[in-house]
Amino acid sequence: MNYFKQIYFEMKHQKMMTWVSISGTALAIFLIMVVVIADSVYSVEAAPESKRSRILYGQRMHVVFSEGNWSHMALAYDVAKKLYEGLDGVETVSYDGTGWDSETNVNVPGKNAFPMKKLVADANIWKVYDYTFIDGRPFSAAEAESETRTAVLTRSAARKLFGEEKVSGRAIEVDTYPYTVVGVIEDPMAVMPNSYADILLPFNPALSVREGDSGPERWLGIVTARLLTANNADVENIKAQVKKRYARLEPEAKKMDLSLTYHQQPYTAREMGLGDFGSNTDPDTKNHDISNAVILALLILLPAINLSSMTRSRLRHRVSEIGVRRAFGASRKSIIRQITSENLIITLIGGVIGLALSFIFLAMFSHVFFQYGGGFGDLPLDMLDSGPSLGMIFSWKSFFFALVMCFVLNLLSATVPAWKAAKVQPAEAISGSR
Amino acid sequence: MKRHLLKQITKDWRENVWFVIELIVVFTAVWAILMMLYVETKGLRIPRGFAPDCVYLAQANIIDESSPRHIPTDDEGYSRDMMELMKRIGENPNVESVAITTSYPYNYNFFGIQVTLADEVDSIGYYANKRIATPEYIDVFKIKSLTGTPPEKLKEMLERGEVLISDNKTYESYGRDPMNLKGKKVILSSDSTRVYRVGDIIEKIRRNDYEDTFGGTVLVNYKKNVEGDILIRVKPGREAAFIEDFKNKPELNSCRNVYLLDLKAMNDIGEANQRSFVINIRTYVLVMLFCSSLSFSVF
Repeated sequence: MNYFKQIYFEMKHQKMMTWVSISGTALAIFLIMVVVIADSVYSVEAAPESKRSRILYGQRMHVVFSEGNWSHMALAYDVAKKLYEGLDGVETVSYDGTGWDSETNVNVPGKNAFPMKKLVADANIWKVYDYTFIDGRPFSAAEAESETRTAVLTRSAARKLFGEEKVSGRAIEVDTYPYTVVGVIEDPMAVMPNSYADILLPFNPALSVREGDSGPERWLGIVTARLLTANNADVENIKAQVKKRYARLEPEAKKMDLSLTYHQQPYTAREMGLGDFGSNTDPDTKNHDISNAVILALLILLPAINLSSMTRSRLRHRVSEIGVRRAFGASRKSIIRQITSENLIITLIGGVIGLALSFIFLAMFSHVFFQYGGGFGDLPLDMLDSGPSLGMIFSWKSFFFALVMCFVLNLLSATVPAWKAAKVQPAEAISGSR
Repeated sequence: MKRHLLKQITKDWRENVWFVIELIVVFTAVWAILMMLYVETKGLRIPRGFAPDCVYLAQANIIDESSPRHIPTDDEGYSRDMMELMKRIGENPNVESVAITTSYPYNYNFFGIQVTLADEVDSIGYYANKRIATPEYIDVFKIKSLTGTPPEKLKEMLERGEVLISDNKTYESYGRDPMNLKGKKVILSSDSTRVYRVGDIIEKIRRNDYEDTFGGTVLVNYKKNVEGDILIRVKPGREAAFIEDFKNKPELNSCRNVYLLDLKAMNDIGEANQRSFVINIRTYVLVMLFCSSLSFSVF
């Protein structure tokens, strides 16, 4: 309680210094938390990606042809099966047939069409992602197998087309083909581009095999894979298995004068989100983590040096007070404890302000400084302009991290001045020679 | 007195050593960020090779045989429909020029090929991103010749089946001058059965405003039945009128078995697809401002 009284007293008598210390701490914690929370959005679990840490993505393949040309494309179904079917530690494989261009034209028969983002997948997609249905049902495995023209719309897409949300059983046209809406789901979040779509359509990968393809082109197609791993499955082990399978495919590819390049597939949600890789490069999360660590170190060390000088300056006004305490028998330890505790309260006040500001900033402006997915530039502007929900931003983990950062900042900025202040000789301090 | 002053200076120096460390760290960080900013924005200081203002993309979709809306046609039906659409759009009073292409800037498409001399032996190949388009591409993107050839002549060259090749820093780094390729017969690795004549040397058509990828550009005339999209250069100030026409006049957005998705401004495509570069620059600037403000607060 004494500490709070002391802080209150200082606030009154050293207003400027105290407020500069609080706002400096708030700025430091704000920036640190923006970096940390924004990075966590790449892997945070929220519907429909509640099992995000367990989802892996088998994406496009890089194939070099004998003439030196190369292609980076989705897979033919049999190649996708050879790479991703029956892996140890994988519970479910869902095949995607969306293809390179995910935009499609959707209209109510006889009315104007709207361009919409589609996700074309088999029925296992419902096991991988937990979309919330507000009307109707998902398309079934049988419907996906026969590619029956059924569709699941999002709440916004249903509203755009029909002006209402309960539209199961209604007819629509998708790229001129007649479809029936079987269900309506809650809008997925644009910051999770892997599960984001306006319309979900059924897909049977076996039907995507083009008849007559026997040359090199038969390696490539429209299929990509989502893998739902078992709980606590080792991602590196799954990647190693896929790498072995690439190697096993190599002799077959060589017969056709092709060479395949393995690029650390399947990717985690974070690797997909960071998008730090091109068509012929590996994802580079390590580099991203190193630059994040450097930024965090700068964000904590530089303010700590400045705050340390603030603390020293505040303590200069209290030299005689410290001297009197020392003269009355206060130990150095107790002086250090008092100063660091008082400083911690200031740091915590600044920390809470900084953390709150970081939540507000990220909810409103995260798209200005961060991009979630779309490394190949295949996301429309409206998706890029949306940010994470408050639910995705706020977590106890980030709150705890902010608290730890406050302690570290306090330790760095208060320990040295406190130690120096405690070293003062009572006679010197009281006489004013220090 | 002297001793006392010396003592005071030493004491102050000890107190200020942390500020010196801070200033060194800040200086290093600001310097590193400036270097990164220089590299990241390097692309903005060199010609991009195309003019995206007033250009719109209409992605073409095919109504195939399984669709109830499909109109029976022959093997050349697709090309005919695309050409017809191109003609109709070109006749709209708001439109300056129209082209069909398989590759437009900002979409990260990269069709990597090797260009080798047909009549001479050279171990150094010219590596390029192959772009296929109808000759009107020259007008749509205002492609520039590096030898001063007027656009009309460039279009004629493409029509004759010649290829246009760009400057190429990678090729130059091997001691070859791309300008010397003008008039030469070449083989493209994507189609080694044919010999092409290099009509002229053009400015490299880059993929976006920031990166400057390896190699150059080869512009080849569009072939029949190759699936492509339509690019439209609208007259300045007439964008809204054209968008309205496109929306309301079915003859502009569909022709038999081909229909066009909505119009996308090339600048919007650029903005979306270059977001990561812009975000990097913003982040660098923010961190630099933060570091600089800290160093000012030291004083």
